[in-house]
Amino acid sequence: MAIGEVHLALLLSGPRHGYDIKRAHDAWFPAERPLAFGQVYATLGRLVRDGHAEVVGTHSEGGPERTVYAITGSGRERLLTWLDEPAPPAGTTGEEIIRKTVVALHSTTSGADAERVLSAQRAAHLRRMRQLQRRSTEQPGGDVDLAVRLADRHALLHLDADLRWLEEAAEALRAQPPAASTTSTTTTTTPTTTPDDQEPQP
Amino acid sequence: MSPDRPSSPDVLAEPAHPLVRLAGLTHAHGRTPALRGVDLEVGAGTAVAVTGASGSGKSTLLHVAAGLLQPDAGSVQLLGHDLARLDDAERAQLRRRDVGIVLQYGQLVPDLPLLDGVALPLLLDGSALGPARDASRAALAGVGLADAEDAVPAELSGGQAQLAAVARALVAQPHLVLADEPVASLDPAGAALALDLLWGVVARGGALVLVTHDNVLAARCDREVRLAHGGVQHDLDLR
Amino acid sequence: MSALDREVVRLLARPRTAADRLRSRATTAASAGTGVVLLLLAAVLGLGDDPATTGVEVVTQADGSTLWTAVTPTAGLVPFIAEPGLRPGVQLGALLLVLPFAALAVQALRVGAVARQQREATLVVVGASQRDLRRVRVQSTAADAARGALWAAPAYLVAWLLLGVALPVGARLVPVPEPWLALVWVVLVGLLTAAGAAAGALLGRHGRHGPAPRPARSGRWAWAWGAGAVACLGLLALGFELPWALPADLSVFLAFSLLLGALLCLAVCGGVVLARSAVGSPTRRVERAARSGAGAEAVLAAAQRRANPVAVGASGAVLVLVGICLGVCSVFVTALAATRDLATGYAGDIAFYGGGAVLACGVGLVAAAVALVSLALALTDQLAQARRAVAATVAMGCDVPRLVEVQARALAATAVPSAVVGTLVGGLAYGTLQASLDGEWLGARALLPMAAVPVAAVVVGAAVRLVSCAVAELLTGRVRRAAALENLRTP
Repeated sequence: MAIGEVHLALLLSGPRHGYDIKRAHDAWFPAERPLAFGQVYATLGRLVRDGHAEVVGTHSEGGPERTVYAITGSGRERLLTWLDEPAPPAGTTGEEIIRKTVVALHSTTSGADAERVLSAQRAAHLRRMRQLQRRSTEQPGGDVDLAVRLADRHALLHLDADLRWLEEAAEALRAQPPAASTTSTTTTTTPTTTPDDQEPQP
Repeated sequence: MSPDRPSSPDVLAEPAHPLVRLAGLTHAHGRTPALRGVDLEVGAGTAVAVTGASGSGKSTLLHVAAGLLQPDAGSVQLLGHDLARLDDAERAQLRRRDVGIVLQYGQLVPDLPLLDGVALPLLLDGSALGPARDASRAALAGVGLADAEDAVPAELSGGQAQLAAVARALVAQPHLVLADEPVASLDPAGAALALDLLWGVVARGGALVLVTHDNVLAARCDREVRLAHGGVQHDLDLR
Repeated sequence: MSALDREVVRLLARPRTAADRLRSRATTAASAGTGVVLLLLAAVLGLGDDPATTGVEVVTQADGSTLWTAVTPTAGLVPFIAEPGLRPGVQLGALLLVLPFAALAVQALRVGAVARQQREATLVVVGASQRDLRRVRVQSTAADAARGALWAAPAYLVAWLLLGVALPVGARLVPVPEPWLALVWVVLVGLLTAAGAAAGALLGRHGRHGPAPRPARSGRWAWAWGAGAVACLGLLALGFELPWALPADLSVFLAFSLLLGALLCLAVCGGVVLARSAVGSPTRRVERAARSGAGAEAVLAAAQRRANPVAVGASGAVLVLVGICLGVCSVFVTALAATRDLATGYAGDIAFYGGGAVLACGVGLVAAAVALVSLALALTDQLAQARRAVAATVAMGCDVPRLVEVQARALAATAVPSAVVGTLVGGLAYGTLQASLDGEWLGARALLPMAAVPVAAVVVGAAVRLVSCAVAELLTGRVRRAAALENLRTP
């Protein structure tokens, strides 16, 4: 998790106190879970300990007194080093859509209809993508916040990538009979897709 | 002119009337079957995406629906008119007045300056040169090509030509637009512009049928009709 | 009725691309050529029995008998035109001379055909009906034909100055333009415009079905045309006994119309055979060329001919006619030279007959030139339409001179066989006919002129081959333009 570097980035434009950092973070990443206060102060404490940030004073505007933090030279360096390393192109290996599709592909001989699973998944994805697009296209005057729009766009394109993968999976399903699956116990079923044909052989 | 003459206002008076009704469409390119009994109805105020793998029959479906190809079997009704019952002149009139068509390739008349090329649907409908050019100028301005009205298609980029084709399809304010990959060659800004214009047809109570392999574009529509091997694989309501 | 505004029809019919302009100009030229030839025909037909023209004054005397007196023909026309009895030959020649121009028109209208079909398909998408497309086509072809017809009158005047006034008395080929010829011209403008309009309307029929050649059918047609030609020639041979039983005017008319029919059938037959040979894969010829190291050129030339069977057929048909004309002339001139009694005493007659042969050859050469021009037009157009493929060929390592060689081969492959076959057929047929009339089937007098036929065929073949190369050289600029590698970018 790059939360420390994100904090440093938020301090780059000038000293801030913890609440300010949380608000700015939530505005930058509207699609993520809001940052917890406890996490903000724990992170800032760690940054100060490592010399990447420092306390530059306190600040109060009629309310409770707040500690103001600033980035140090070492912190700036740390941030730039982090930016220079590309994020690992790991993909999203742990997602349910993959688990579900792979399970469906391997279970066609036991009554599961992989085509239907894929089709239902496609429908769910398309509907979500439609919602995401309507939020940004149907607001009159393009009122949507830039950060929200970018986050929606990110989600949209990721869903598109899912759909393309689903298409490939469906193609692979059609090309390869499920009988080739090692877990299959029956070998006489054909790769046709109607549920009736997919009943286990007696 | 026959009593079955296309007359658009009557059609839109009945919003429930499907603007497109395809029944049992079958078509083969020579001996290669492209469509095997496709049914499709598109109501007013709807955008439908026709998707599917390459060779699934998407473009053929659009060409048959537009009356550019004759179906081997089945019927095509556009705005309540059965294409098989219209003669060539009446079909042409329907296309230039009520149906905007955007095709993937070779869509602009190569030697005409854009101003006249985009005005063609109006010119072919008997409009005089002056008013047609005024409408064309406005349509070109709408797609950001106001400066290119004297250019011939060879002088345009692929994206500009595509935008001009969209402008031409919309210049006669059609009730139905049939488009084959209308934004495939456009950059994101151009695509957004073209799609907003196309969705204007839907907002006015018309209908839009888009052939695309772009999932994001498909997900902007109200329905997805997915073709596989010339048949309808699924017909999803996305609303 | 098409809903198009007249202004819009003009807008869509206006030539814009290089191919459009070439089509327009070539159509205009074909129409003008046809117009001039028909004006000439009308002028000859309209020549009266006026003594100034014929050189013969007929006086009816008081007792009812007629007195024929030779006078100086002040019009100064050559005897073939001046003497009413010889005019049908000239008229036949003029009629046949319309053919190469018709072939040129056919080819001209096909210039840029692929681009035009694509353009029409696009117009259909935006709502043009077939009727609208026809109107646009008719507008442009009719306008081109009308422009050509308008040029016909000035062209006739120029022809009259060059081939009439400028020539010595007794050798003038073009009659004085009488005022009534202007009326004929007006009628011609109307007729040619109508023909242009009809051609434009017919073009669409081809456009919808595509220009795909149907070699199997053309094979049957070749047989039909050949049979027609044989029938006409047979009737003609029989007819040589008949004429004397019929009134003189009618028999001449019959003989000439049969001859015309036979020639047309032969020409069309030759054209169809050639078109078919262009479509069928000439594998053996290509293999032979490959052995001699010119395989690539032969393959490309065969492909080029295959792509344009109509041009090959039409130009081939005209060249067959030209060959027939040259063959007949070769026999005629040889026979003339071999006739000793003419050589001794009748120098005037030699000038007369020899002049006729030269005139016929001249007409044949004009026809050959027009046919080669239309064939070159076809090749040029094809280069323009296939410029992407041409550029790709160059990119693969075929240089421009080799492509020019391809053009020369494609031209010669059509022109040489047609002209040579025509020469052989015309010469041998005429020689045989002449010998049979003389009653000497196998005598030396019959064989000697026939010996000139193979010689003439070789000379004609070599000349046509040379002209083909020259025309191909003239096309070098166009080949270079088509071969520009930037054409690889064009869609």
